[in-house]
Amino acid sequence: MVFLQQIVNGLVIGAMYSVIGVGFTLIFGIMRILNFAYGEFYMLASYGAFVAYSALGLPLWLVLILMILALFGIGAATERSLIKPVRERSMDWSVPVIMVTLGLQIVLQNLVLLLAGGTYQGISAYLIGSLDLGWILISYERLLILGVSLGLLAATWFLIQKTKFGLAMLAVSQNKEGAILSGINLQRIYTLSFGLSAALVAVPGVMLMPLLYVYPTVGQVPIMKAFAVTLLGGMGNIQGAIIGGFVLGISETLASAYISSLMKDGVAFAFMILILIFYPAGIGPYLQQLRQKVIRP
Amino acid sequence: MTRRDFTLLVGFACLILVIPLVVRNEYFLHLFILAAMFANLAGYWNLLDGYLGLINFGYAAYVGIGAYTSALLAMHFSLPIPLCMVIGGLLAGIVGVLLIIPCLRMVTFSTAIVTLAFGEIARIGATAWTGLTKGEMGLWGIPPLFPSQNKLLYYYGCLGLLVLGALMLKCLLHSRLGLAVLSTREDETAANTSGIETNRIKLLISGISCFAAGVVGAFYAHYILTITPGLFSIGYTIQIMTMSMFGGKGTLSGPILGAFALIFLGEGFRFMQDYRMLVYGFLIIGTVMVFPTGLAGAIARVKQAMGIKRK
Repeated sequence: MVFLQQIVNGLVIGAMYSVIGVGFTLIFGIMRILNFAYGEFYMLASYGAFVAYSALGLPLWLVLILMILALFGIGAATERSLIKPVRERSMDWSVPVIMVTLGLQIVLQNLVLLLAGGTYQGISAYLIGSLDLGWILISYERLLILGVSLGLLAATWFLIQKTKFGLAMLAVSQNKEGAILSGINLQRIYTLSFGLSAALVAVPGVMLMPLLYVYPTVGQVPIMKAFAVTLLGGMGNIQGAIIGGFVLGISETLASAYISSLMKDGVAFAFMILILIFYPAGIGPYLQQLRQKVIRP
Repeated sequence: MTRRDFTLLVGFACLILVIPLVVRNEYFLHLFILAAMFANLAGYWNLLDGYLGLINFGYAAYVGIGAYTSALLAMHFSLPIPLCMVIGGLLAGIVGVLLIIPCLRMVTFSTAIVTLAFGEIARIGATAWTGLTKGEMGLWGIPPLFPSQNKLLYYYGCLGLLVLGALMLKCLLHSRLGLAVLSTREDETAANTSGIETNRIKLLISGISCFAAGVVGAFYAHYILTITPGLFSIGYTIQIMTMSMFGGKGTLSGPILGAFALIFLGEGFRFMQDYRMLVYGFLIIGTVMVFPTGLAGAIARVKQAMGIKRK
């Protein structure tokens, strides 16, 4: 029973990791950059949710929508003002972009530190109470987290697979030159997908706020998870990131339950490196291969 | 190098050697020692990133490994300290090579994240392995490198280490191996077809770079005399990386300039108090946006402009 409970807890947290990972890997897949300010987008959404929910007293659904819109704007503006000039200047923009986003990370952290102070702030929970199934206990809060993240993952999947914008994004990630030749506006895709990535991480920012609290450097937690999930799933592989998020969530919960809570992060990372030794491209491509084998034996 | 450059260099060297004898300020000397250590680290990080094109985000972990190994050896086995430093460096180098082996099969960017993950594991490991490292409490009572705690000795010590490191780097880059390193960065496939074993080059250069990190870390341990797992944190890696970028990546003098400039600028910014880190962040963004080639590039440009004016 304890084991099952841990698996369910891991699933809930894994769903959030999936969302965090998808947003991060999306940007890598399309633009080939690592966004080190990604955790700070999470932090901004968390602070926004804290202010809107506890000070202004807005309902949770409105807070979620507001934060998604706000972070979309911030993400798109970041791409336009900071990433675009660096990208246009040189061919090899991977490292300069890392430096710019690192600078942005430091600026945002310290700006928030000056405005809000360094103390931990937060609320106890959005929802109180829990669902008791007899063999398993799950709080409504966690159920809500699971529901929202599954919904968001489904919406993202729909956006990418079924809409014209999503197909354009896929085209850019697969072949940049080919996409330009087919009349896709590269700059527009870049800006919109950067905004989309920031909007995706806004949801964990709002939903995990009662669990992680808010403080200026809270972004370090989600960005570490984003790195781990991205690497697990294969760089830029969205399906892989979704599965990787669940794998990471479950393995972390199990590690903290059966080994040591101190080693939780360490075990997750060690596990990740082990997977990489055997499947260097991440588990995403491997699973796709496996599925093809099952479908066409 | 022209004659004028050489005179400048000699003059500068004399100035550096005389400074501590004139400025009898312990704090200034401490800053200088830190800057020299960071200059060495930034230089060898630049060997990986700037010359080989391999990003290592776990660099601070090698500094930590070198520091802890050397400190523990000196404390428990009372070996001579220079030997401990070399062993610390060797262990860091070996770990560095071992970590790069699985990375060879991945795309470039994965290396960045694998090394970042390794840095975190090492930090958590150093915190959790309390039996050996005393965890968050930190190791203390490390034997000092020099018998008397005179900052002047450490000043010349770290200066010597920096000069040695820079000379070795220069020799390495001007050798056949250096050419192989550059060609690996420019075009790996072309390098492979010209008979350069790029994988072996990557392992070798990673080993050298991590060895240097370990030795500098060991020097730090025997200078500060207490070390904590905080030494492994990614914050230091970012600092080293910023210095190398700010000074000008892919140049020999750049990282050294960058380290000194940022350490002393950071101190100069102290009057801004809470706004210090904010300005630091803007400085990083501004450098990348305005001076992509860093300080070294800017100086080269100024030099060129002056030369044109004179003619």
